[in-house]
Amino acid sequence: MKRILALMLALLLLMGGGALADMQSAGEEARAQADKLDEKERVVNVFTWTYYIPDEVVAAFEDASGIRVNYTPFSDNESMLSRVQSTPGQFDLIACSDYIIDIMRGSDLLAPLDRDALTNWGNIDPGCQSQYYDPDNEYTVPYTVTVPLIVYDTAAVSEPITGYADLWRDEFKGNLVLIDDMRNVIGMAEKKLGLSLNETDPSKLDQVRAELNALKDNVVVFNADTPHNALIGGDAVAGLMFGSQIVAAQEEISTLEVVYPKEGLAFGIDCLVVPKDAPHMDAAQILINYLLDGEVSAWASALINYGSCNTAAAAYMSEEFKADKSVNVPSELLASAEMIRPLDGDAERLYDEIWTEFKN
Amino acid sequence: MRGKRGLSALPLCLWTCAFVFLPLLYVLFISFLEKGEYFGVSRVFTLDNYARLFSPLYAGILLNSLKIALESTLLSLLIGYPFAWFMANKPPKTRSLIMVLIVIPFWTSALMRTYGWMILLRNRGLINAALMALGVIEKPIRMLNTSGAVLLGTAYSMLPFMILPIYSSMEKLDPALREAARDLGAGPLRSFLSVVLPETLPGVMSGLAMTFVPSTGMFFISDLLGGGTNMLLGNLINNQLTVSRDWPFGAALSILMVGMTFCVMSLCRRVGGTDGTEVF
Amino acid sequence: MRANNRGGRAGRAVSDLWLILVLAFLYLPIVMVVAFSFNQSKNGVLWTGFTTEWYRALFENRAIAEALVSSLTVALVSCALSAVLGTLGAVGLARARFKGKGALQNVAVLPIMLPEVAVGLAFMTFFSLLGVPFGRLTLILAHTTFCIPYVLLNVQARLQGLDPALEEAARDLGASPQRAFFTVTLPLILPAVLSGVLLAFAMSLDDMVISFFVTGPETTTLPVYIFGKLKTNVPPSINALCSLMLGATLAVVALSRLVRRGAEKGR
Repeated sequence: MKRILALMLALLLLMGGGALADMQSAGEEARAQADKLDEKERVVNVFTWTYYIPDEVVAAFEDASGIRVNYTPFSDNESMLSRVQSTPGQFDLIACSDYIIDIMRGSDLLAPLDRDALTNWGNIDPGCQSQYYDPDNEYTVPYTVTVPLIVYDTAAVSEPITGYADLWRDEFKGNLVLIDDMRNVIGMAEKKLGLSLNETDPSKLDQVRAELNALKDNVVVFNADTPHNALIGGDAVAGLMFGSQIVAAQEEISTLEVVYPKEGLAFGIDCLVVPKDAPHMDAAQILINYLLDGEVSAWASALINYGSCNTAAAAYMSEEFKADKSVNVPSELLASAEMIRPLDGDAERLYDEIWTEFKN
Repeated sequence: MRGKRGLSALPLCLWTCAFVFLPLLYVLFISFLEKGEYFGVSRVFTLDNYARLFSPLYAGILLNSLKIALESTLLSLLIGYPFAWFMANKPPKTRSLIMVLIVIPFWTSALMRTYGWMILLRNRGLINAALMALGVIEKPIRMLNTSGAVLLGTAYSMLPFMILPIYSSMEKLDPALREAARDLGAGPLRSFLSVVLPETLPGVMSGLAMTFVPSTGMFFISDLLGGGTNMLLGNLINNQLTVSRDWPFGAALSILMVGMTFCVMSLCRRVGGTDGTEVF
Repeated sequence: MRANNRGGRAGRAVSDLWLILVLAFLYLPIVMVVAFSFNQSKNGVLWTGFTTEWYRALFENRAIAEALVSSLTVALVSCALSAVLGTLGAVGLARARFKGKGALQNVAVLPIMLPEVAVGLAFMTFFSLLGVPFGRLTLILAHTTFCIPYVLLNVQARLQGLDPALEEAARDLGASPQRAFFTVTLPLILPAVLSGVLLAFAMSLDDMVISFFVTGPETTTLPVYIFGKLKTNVPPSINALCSLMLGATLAVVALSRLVRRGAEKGR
């Protein structure tokens, strides 16, 4: 019966049936793993941003494995953490950012992963591994690389932008859009001054504060989710935002130029983790393994437009996608990019005040 | 017998104690604690969170929020009061239709409605496009990402909360009262001031109670329509409780809003007359 | 009514114009939401062309349908509960004279005064201390709590100045307190209860932040599902959903009026 189905699927493919049937090997493996589980074990409660694990991928996984996915979206890492701490035993798989994983690991909230169950472990890009939040790669599977980049409308800007410092130009008065992200925006001023993204010296942070106050009049919009809409709507002509957002803006404006700032890049890594008290740990690992499959990973990346941490995915990506400057930052640039790390209490309060002052 | 009459408030009383009072006690409690090293709270007593409220940075945000709240409440009162008046003068069937028509837009998500405003107000938005097509302007005027847009959005969101209680208090107004005043020689303005306004004041006060304090706390309107460059109390609390992970300070700010609520509510009761005098 | 006698026709024109303009103002952004449900662009900023694609996408989405059912259930139950608690509470508060009456009212309205994040986190911590299982129950408890103030404040505005002699007369004629309440007071305050419930329903259906903190992995309400926001656009299928819901509401309103008119003619 299964073979007939597979044959029909292959036939469909031959007739130009599209990408769905391609995920077959990953799906079959997930099925084989899921078959070993009890009926009531075949559930995964996923907790991450809306569409971060795309609906299509979730549906394909459910169909192939017979595991039901309950997808709860969150809006920010911190709200996620509040819930995971206060209401234990709810979630099985969480995709979230580096610094919050550091806190979760420090608070003993994470379960070590079972590498025997993760047959696709070898697909992970070693460049994304062994980070400060998980030096021995016990708890995390890197999912995406996130890099904020500068983008500007060549039709509306007098001379090319090469780095963060250009955003301070007078011509951008009331014309900039920035991601609503404290550390990344303060980081621009730090990089402009040649400081680290994790600077804690109060006197140096005073210089950062002054730099930001000089930038204040240029910024017309802060937006966390849809900064690209300010470019499309003509409300701003340049700004700092994540690659996926730039891709969305480029769909409607052809004159946009992406810049890798010469002062250096900031980058982050979002990972898949399993909480210690996960009620369906085995099913969660099956989903992680499915997402680690090269073909599935390439598919997901193309849907969400984030850089992939999967070395096997490249073979399944289109040349056009691989060449997209906003999504795929060259690895030599990433190697010299700096990661944002959690701060200690005093510095954190200083950052917070600088940010509040800047945004007011 | 009189004592028994308040008994029907008992379920409300119990519910409020269980689900509002107790959770807020917890908020009050953590507002006196220190922020945990990376997350949550540490059990060290401090008054620092309240001291911070008085720093110029945060006091400025508070004043700015109060200003916007005052302006938007007044704006929605100016639009809403005449609306409620005209509505109350319609035949009963039309009135109930209008009442439903006011509320229906608010069954569409607030965020979606705000996106609707953004479509209209952008530089390449519908209003600018229309004005340019008509030749009224040559270059788009900035409407989105201004404090005017925040005011508009806040007043818009508050409008039904202003209109409905005012209407509730007007609808029961006895038309004979106004006629009597007029028969006694009072002009329309005087009959309005001496008869209609006092009678509808409780409605106005209920409307104010429902709109004033919440409008200092509406964070996504100033984020989306104001471009996030005007931090209001709501944005500040939201930031402290999420990205800044400073629950105690966020809690102290919330307690400040509890205080504001108490002030506004007792003011409304005093002016609106629900205080002291026994009705029924 | 005599109200417009003086101004006559001019007065009526001003009154109608004001009503129409304000209603138009209220519906302006809604019209945009509906229009952009037919827009080709995913970004929802500029009009790029007509499509019905998003309606098709909507009907293929199982999660949205489930979330919609959750949302409606929670909203209906919480509104019913808050209507009862809020109305009885308002009547009781108007009649009673006890110390702390003002304080009770102050505290009861707090859930709509404080920012939703603060209320949500407080609920979350409270329910987890109590050990209540997170899901539909916690959602209903939380929603009822923030729906009550809308009913309470509306009914209070109405009760104020209502003639107490009416109910007393009924009591003198031998009606039990319950009967006097149901036959005299309730009909008088019903419009206010209704308008309070209508607002409460809107707020319950729309609440994202508080719901996020009090729901469990198996129940996701519509706003929580849609606006986990970040990192992507609000998909135009959501515009499509809003448009359909708006259409359904307007249809129900039109239908009920037709039915009522029919019933009146039949009489």
